[in-house]
Amino acid sequence: MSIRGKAYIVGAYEHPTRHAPDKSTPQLHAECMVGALADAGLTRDDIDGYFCAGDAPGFGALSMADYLGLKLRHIDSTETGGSSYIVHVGHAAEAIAAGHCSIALITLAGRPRSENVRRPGMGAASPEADFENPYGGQTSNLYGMCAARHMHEYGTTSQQLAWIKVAASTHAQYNPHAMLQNVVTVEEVLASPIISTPLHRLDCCVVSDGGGALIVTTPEIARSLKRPLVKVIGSGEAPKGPRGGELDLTVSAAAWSGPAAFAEAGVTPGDIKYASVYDSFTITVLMQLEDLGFCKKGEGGPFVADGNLISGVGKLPFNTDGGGLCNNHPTNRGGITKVIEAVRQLRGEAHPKVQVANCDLAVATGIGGALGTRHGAGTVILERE
Amino acid sequence: MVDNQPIQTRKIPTPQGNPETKPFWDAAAEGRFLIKRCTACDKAHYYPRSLCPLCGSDETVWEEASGRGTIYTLSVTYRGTPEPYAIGYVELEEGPRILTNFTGGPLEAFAIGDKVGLVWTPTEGGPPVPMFCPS
Repeated sequence: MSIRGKAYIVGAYEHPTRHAPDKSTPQLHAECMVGALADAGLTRDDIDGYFCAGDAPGFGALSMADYLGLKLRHIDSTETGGSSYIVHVGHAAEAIAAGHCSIALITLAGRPRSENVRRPGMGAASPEADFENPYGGQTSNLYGMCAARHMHEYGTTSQQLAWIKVAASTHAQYNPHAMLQNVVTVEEVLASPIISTPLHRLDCCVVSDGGGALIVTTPEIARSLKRPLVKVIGSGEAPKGPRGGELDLTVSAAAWSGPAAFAEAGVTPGDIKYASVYDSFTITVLMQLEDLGFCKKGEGGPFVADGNLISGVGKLPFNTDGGGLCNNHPTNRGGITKVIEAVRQLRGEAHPKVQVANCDLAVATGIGGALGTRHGAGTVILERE
Repeated sequence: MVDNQPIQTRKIPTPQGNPETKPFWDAAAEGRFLIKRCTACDKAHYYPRSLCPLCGSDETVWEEASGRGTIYTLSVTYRGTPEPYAIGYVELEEGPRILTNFTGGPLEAFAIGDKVGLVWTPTEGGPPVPMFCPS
């Protein structure tokens, strides 16, 4: 069974806050739900499926389902870090195709700025804890190690990585909600402090409070609503880890999630008009573009250089909201904003300065967890009908 | 940039151990570096498990590793830490690439491809953990 064409995204909402000291995290989830329902033209009691991940407070999906007052016949709290919400779109499409729910809500929200929390460490009970925790793995160096190896194997340069930030910042100048709205140059990226070699501060995404929500539903319900039709036509997911020491840090799990999604959709990277690519760091984007097949492995550096990711300038417009690098990385998880901006592009509702002409096919892809140890990739292909 | 830090003085969390990995930590306390090898597929793996993560066999046995290897990758962290440190993977002569710290030399001098050797580093009251220094 394929999910191709069996589900549509009818509601998409990005919370405008980037700093929420006066709200609770469940409250932000609720506000995101309300926003997505309003966007779709549905009400809370229409929801019969709910999807959330580790940012949702409480016990799996149970606490938030109860807090939100949802009456459900399908729940899913699959956790792959920041890519969870892309995976959830695929899972929601599966559940809808199977008839296990008809209107699915996905929420993400959190307040890392207000709570000043760092990325949670590897749990003490995890099997790798004793063998990894002593070494001080943190998000920046767990991605920095991948960048260093990619540079070693393929000659990728910091200048090329910087172009990814330049493209994101070029888009962010048109987003009034973006945390960083100033356009930066390659030289400014390279002049910013090193966080973990070879990554500079401007190779890293922002830390923001906030959240987002999506509504996924059946073709019949989607056609009854008054919103442009955004169809889910392919999805893929995969985990990847060090695998007992047989690791290759220049390839991400998107090398499996991407081809699976494209195969299900029956399209190729060359058909894609717009790409939302999870940008926790610049290197995250470069490796996913290679792994999805937008260029050959090792050629990501030249591919992203010289404005190739800038809408209206390059061949592959990406992250036209400014992405995690400039706009928003709510609760250190950027997957849902990737889907939201792809939906905006397919509806023709992106900012006019960055809207891709005739945008009828988009991909949203993400990496959650730590690229340098274990991570989960999710990819969805979305089509305007 | 921050001055070179030739000696790693960052506090290292104490390994907790469990019945599956007790032989590793007991050996570590004696200065012996054990890895697991699968007698079904003949491959070594790390971190050590009872079931081979590469072929799925339960025919895994402990063996003492050489402690020699080559830097596969590394990243030197300067921010969000009391002092800079180098984290990376070393490819052991026996095959597995393992997460570790590089220590015992200027952090800026470590490079991919460098030969390194095992050095045991104390933890907060528990067994030492394997790190690697220039060889």
